[in-house]
Amino acid sequence: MKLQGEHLFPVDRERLWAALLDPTLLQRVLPGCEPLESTGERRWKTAMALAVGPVQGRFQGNLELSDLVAPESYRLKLDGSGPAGFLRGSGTVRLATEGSSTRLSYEVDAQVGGKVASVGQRLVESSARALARQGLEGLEAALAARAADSTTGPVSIHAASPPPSTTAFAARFARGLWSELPLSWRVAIAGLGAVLLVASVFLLRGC
Amino acid sequence: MTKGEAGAPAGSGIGARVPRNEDARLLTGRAQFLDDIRLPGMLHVAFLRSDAAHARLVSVNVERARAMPGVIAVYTAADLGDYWQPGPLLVPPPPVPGAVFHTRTQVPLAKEKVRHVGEPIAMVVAESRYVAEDALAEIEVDLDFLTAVVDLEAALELGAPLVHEDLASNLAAHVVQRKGDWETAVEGAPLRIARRLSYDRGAAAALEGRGILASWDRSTERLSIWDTTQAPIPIRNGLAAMLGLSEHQVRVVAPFIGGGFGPKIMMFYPEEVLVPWAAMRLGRPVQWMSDRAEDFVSTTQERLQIHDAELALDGEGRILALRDSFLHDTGAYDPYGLTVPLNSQANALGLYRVPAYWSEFRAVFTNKPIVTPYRGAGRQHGTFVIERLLDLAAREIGVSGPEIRRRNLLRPDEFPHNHEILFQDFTQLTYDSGNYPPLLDLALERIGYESFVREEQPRRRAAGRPTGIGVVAYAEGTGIGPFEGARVHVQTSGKVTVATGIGTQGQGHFTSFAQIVTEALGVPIADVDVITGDTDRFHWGAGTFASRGAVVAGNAIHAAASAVAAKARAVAARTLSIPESDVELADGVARSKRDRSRAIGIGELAKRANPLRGAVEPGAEPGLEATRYFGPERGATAAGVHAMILAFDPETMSVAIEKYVAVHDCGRVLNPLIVEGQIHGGVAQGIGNAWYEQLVFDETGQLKNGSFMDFLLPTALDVPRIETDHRETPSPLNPLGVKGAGEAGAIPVGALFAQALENAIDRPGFEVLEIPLSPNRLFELLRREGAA
Repeated sequence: MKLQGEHLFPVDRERLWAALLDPTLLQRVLPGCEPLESTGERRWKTAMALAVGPVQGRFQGNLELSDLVAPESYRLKLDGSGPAGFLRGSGTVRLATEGSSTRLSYEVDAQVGGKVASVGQRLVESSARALARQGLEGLEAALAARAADSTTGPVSIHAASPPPSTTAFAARFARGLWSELPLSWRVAIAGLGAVLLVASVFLLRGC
Repeated sequence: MTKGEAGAPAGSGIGARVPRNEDARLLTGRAQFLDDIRLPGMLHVAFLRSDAAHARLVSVNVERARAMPGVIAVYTAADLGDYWQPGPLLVPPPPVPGAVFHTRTQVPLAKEKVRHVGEPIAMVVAESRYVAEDALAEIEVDLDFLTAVVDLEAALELGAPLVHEDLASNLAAHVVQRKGDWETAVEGAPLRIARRLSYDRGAAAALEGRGILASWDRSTERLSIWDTTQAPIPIRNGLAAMLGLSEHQVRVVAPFIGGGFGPKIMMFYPEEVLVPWAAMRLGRPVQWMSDRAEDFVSTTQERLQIHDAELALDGEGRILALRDSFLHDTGAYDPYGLTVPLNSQANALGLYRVPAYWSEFRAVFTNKPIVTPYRGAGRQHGTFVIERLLDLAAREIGVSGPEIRRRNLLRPDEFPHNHEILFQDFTQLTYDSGNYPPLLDLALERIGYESFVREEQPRRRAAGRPTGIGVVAYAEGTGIGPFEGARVHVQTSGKVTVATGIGTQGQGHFTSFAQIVTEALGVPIADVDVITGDTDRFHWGAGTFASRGAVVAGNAIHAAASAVAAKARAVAARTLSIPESDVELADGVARSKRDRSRAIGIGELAKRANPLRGAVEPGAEPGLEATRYFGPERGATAAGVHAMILAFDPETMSVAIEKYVAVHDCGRVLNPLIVEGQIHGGVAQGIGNAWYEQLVFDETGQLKNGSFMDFLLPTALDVPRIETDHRETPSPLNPLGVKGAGEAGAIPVGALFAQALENAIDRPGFEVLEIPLSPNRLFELLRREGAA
């Protein structure tokens, strides 16, 4: 399974680079992630609660960054496993300056196994994309919060970040699905919605 | 209806449509299944299974799991000591000259490597299943991932990763069988049709999963095992040997089972081997019942094969020679030998005269669950090959499908017909008897072939509703040895018990076996109590598989009941002072044919045959009881022709089977109702196989559709009303003249569906060469064909 995506951050490349290497910030933006525990140079272990469709579970995993080219790119490797199966992936994260902003793009080759694969297959890709989107938006919010803070020291977050709320996740999931739909479907669904809206207005007025 | 040998009460002897005796118990939920059994102090088991298809097992740490409250024991391969042994090879390789076979059987718990998703790594025994499952989460497994072997052709390439590293390649077996000489036979052949055909994996998806319960009684030193097995006697014998017990210390009971279909044969699954061992060690009853998710990856499967086949014909469409070279996916291990590919080789000969045949297969180890027989057991593939090639040949020479078949069907005067290759029972594949042309005629008549093709089909095409018709013939090798036995015992109450060693998984044994006894002894069918699948009640035999129950166990019961009838006649003759030739057994009594008032109840005869004073006749055995065995010299070949009318919707790629006809010859029919039920069930599974059910593995060996959300089974809406008809060509290989019927329904459906679909779509160049299909897959094929 190949995952790729990008996100535009309204900060310069150096700031984003520093944030991406900050374990407390990383933990903050990985939904359902517990604090990252260092196990070596640019290596951490952590645990994460994840839900892929009907399959839910806690994954123990490792995250490793390598081939760092500051502030342009690094490779990341992650693996996690738990009662619901495993996930393994490796890929590249790149940062490119766009005016005063920075575009982050990622490409990850991921493998899933166990129940996540056999039961959650249909939802795995959409879920992974939704998670990535959620994480990147979270990072953007955290950066904004840090910028708003007059002190530039590290944001002190000790508690584990909560698992993503179901509604937030569902909203991102739906947005992902929507963007994957062909244009004709989107038009049709929008049209149907409009018809229903008009019809309900008429009905309500008739009452 | 066949007239009874003895005076069977009207409508309950051999051939009668007797409603099933067992249904009241089954339908009201009273029948005992494995998970209904609760023993005091019973412990529960959960297995930690590999999530990886292929990986080195670096370490397994179970300390935290062991420390959990409620956990009684956690075992890994290291804890098994000498008990850790690869399972037995259940079927040896065939004695074909030059055959290669590498035995690699499944292990109880993975030791150095895991070889497929679902392979057990650790076993947790706990006070409840909840605790056991929770403990699985506390086990730490360190896996070093290896490249998975998934694709059959890539698996055999030089340098491919190896499933079994002690072998030079992933080749599990290589067998070549030949009849006549292909080269000579095809010389100057006016027509040769060569294609690549494939058939993919499905799950048997039995309603009830697998389970086992074992209880060791220290005071009597006996081990009682309840097992969802099709073959309780081999399981008992094997487990006794593994556990160092005498066979008589072990009792294996196969209770009512919610579907067997092959994968519940005497597999010696890891769970089957470990649960009794744990019960003895812990001194408490131990039970494991699979859940659906683990059933998808731990129960054996069938049927990926890729065939490169070529058929040579003369100008009139008569077969000159067939050549087939195929790859067979055996999964990670090959405990069941080569039964499945041997069946494929046999079935490719169909019901036809094939003067020359060359067939080669390579069985391939892959990182997927093990492949063993599942209803049809490779016969589908062979039937798919020959029937598809005949369809394409018919198109080529411009004759109809039925016509090209008619030109090749064996004639009644050609039996017994020796195909000169080895069958799965290692005897020469010889069709014992048959009369095929009437099967074809009847199927054509029942489906309304002529009028459909002439009137209905053009009308529907014109109306934009493409509809196709298919007619396919197939053989079913059934009733193989080695033997089964039965004991028939008349009690002094007049009730009769009949015990046989095979297990029952819904075949109606309690009815058809009772009919055989009723026929011989003239007792009411309600008085016949059938006991199957309990090694304490009968301990010789093989099991229920290969469509052999009615043939092999049925004839053993017939022999035992006939022996009891002879005894009863002798005692009655003495008691009534009439000649034995004047005694008839009917209505639960023995009586004089000439003077029916001279009668004695069969229970009373049982009493007299077991005198409490005096003595029995010298040399006589006491009691109205007999034990007999039956072993056929080889399997009996059943046959059939199925026909289907299939509507196709080009907008949605959906299909609807509008009419289905199954004409079938399984020799003498014991109970048409039960044979029809078997055919219905088989056809339903065949329809699933053709259009719904496919186990999809990704390139890393992960099963992508391991739940009923994604692995589709046909529902009642998808299975049409099936019209059946029987023709009876009794088998000369057994006294009852029966042939098996268990797998028949499932065998031809893939080929039939392909033909009907191709006929409906009716585009030059569009060929269906693979099964299963689905709306998606069909869309792809049509688009690709359209683009070409």
